[in-house]
Amino acid sequence: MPDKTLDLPAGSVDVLLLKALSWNAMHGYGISRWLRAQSDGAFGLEDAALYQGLHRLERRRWVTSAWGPSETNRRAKFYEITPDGRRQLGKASAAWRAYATALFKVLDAQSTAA
Amino acid sequence: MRHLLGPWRTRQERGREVEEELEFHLTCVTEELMRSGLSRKEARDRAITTFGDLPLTRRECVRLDTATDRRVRWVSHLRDTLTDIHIVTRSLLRQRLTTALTVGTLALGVASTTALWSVTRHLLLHPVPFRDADRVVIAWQTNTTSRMKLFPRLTQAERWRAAPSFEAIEVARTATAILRIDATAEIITTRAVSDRFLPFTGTTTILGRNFLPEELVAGGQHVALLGYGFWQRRFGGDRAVIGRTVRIDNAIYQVVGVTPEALDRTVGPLRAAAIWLPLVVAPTSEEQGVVFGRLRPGATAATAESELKRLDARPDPSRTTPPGQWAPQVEAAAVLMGQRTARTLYSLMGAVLLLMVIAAMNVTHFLLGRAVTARREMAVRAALGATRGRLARHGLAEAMVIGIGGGLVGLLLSTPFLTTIIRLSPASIPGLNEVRHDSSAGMVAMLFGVGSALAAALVPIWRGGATKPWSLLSGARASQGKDSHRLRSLLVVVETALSLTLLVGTALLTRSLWRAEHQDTGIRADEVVALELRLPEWRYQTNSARMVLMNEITARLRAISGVVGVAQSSGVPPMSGVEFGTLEVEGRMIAPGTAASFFASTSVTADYFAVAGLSVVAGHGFDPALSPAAPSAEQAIIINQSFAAQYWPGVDPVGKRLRIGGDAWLRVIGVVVDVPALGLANHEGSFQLYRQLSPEDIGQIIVIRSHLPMNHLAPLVRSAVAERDPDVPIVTMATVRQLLNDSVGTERFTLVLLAAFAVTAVILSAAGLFGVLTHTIAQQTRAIGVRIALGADATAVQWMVMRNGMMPVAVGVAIGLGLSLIAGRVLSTLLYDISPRDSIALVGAALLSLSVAVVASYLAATRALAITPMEALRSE
Repeated sequence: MPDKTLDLPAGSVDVLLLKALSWNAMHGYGISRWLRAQSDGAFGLEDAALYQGLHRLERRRWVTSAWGPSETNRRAKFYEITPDGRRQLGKASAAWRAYATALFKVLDAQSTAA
Repeated sequence: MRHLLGPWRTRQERGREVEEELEFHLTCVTEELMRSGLSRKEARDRAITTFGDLPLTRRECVRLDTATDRRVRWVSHLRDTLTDIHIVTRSLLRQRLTTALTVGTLALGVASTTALWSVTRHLLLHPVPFRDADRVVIAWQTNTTSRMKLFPRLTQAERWRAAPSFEAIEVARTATAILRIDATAEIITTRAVSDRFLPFTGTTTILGRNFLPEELVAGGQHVALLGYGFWQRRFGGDRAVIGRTVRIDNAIYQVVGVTPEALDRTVGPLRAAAIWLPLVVAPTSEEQGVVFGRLRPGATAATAESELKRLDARPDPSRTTPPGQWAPQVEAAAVLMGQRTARTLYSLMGAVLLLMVIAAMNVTHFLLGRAVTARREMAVRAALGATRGRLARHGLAEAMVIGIGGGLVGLLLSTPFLTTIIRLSPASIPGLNEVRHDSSAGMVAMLFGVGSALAAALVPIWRGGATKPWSLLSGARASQGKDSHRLRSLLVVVETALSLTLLVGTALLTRSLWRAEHQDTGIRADEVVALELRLPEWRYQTNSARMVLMNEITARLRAISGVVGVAQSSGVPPMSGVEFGTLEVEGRMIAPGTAASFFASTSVTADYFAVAGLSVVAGHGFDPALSPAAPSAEQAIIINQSFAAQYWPGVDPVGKRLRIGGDAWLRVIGVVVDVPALGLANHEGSFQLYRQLSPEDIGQIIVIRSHLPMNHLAPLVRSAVAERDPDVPIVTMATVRQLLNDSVGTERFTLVLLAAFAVTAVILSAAGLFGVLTHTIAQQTRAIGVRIALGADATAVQWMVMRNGMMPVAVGVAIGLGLSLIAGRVLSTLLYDISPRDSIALVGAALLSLSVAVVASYLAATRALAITPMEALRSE
């Protein structure tokens, strides 16, 4: 895994995990692989943070978990998003988009001071 | 995938799961790294390093999972409880009658408790409707020897303002006045206050304005405020009342405002006033009034009192009484409630609590019965793995449903209870008709309902938990039955004892009231009408003018046909005037420093005794022809029999002399019979003396003896008075019997309530007894059926059942009698002329209790006869 991982604020972990799970149920390793693939390697979420995040999401009932066979027929814990989780994903991604837009507006602003 | 509410996992299990999950991840990463060329060991090491803080992650995940588990557990608990409630409700509804009886029992208890709670809260705990009520105090002048409280003089209150403990002092002078509207004159209560009084209480006028400072000087504008209740009653709440004029004591006042409803509430000695007037205090005025103070935060009544004492000790030229005889006393306003009212309330609260206990016991009976019936089901559940806790929760659910049901129904019932209490209550308990339920009533109802039900459920649940599945399923019922039976018998004993205590209390009060009401009143209470007038001071300014008026009215009344006799007096039982002072009897040594004696003192015309029907048993009455004593001679007085018996035992008191408080000597010329001078149940006025009415000593009461019924006499009297002077209001017109009955209004009220509680308690214990016996019969169906099959006759079976029932009742009665003797001491202050050990009351109550029990047993026994042998043998 690449060394340069961006420092991510706490809420963003949740939104990434929820997004990852929004199509399919996955196990932790699968999520980690997906995230790397989607962000072209930029988001290398630390595994420790990922697993803590998953368990946290389960506590908040945004995902549920169940044991099942992996692609290699080993026993793995799969996570699935819940309707509550989908709602949260919608809210959080809207918030992040707004934040990013505002941020870019500031960054792109020309200096008006003479 | 479903959301699994899996079985609970222990922390260890959770740890293992987390370990497995993380291990899976590490294995995958290791294999991935191996695919890019690393050796297994290197890959593994790299995987672990790049993972991050592995031990921390493990701990965090386990912690989070345990928290999730806990919530899941609570959700399943809740779900179980709701299911329980559902099941319990359905099964309760199947036994509609018994359930209704039990809920009803509980509801009765809750209703009485809640109603009494609202009454108590209002009367005893209701805050003074002033701002910062906890700092409001009332200042009195107390006589240092007799401890009697008097209203302080207004000028004194002015000087008290200097006390640093007080943030503010305000006075209110209460008086009565004659209000004249059209042709009718009526007596009203007035209150005179300064413009600062309303701000002191934290209220403002709801209509119009407060007084202005320029109206508070002598000769200022005549303005008045209307009291809220008076405004509603007399003016129908007309908002256009501002600017109207009223005639008070022959002066015209303009209405400038209406005071808020809060000020109509009784605060200590201050009751609702019809009219509020501006207070003007002349520096030499002797007028008295109620003195309110607000303490500074942190000051106490005690410090205020000592400051006032110091202020009073300063030399004061305007003082008329010698210092040292009177001392100031400061009391919190919130504490000032009649002692007697508090005592009554405490007795009632005791009664209500007993009732609650009995109601709770009936619920216990009921739940025990259900537990026994359902024990087979419980056994099966236990065998299938339900824990003791789970079974207990089922029992709790049952108790909750009954408790909530009882609480809700009780709350609904408590409103009519309260209304009945208010309607029955005598006027002598002030403030009672302002009692309303507030939100706390709902809480109290649910608290008592659910609390009692839960308490009642403790025993059945505890016993249910001791269920051993195998013993039940194998049918070994005998030992269980005996235990349960003993327990229920115990409950019957307790219920009987408690309800008997209530019965005894009721019986004692009934006898006491009967004695008080049927005592020989000495006066012809049913034929004598007392008429109290008020002579307007502005028109009759001299004593002789007043005497002339009274004589003229008396003459007019004599002329009414049907009137046998008319006399004048300054008081009539139960409204006698009082007098106190140290008594000196000629020829006897009186110990120095004796406490002052208390006398009921009346001034009457010579024909008073004849008109009132009071027999003169020694000496003679007053001589109508004789004008009252010349200054040098002694004044003649007449005393009553008790007075004579106390101070001249065995000797004829006629001709003897006495004096009171060091005044002039009085000579006894006659003795009359006793009357209940201050009320039917009041012992304080047992020493009575009579003087002759004189121009210096005018009464305002006329006693009329006639054979006419009140509804005929009253209008004739009214027109006779109004014709002579329409400005003379009639303050009271009633037969003496009516007035005497009203004087025990509080006692009668207590009795009615207590009787209601006692009757309810007896019914409840009878129902309880009935339930126990029915249950016993159900237990012994086999035994009874066999007996019947073998030819036992009906009477023998009935007798067997009844004997079973009467045993615990007899024990209960014995214990109850013992309890009553203890409780009797509490009641003794409310009893008139009856000992709390009165045998008639005790025996009567015991007999009543036993008879009710006999009836209940008989009814149960009759049901036993309905058991056919076939049924018995079939029952299991």
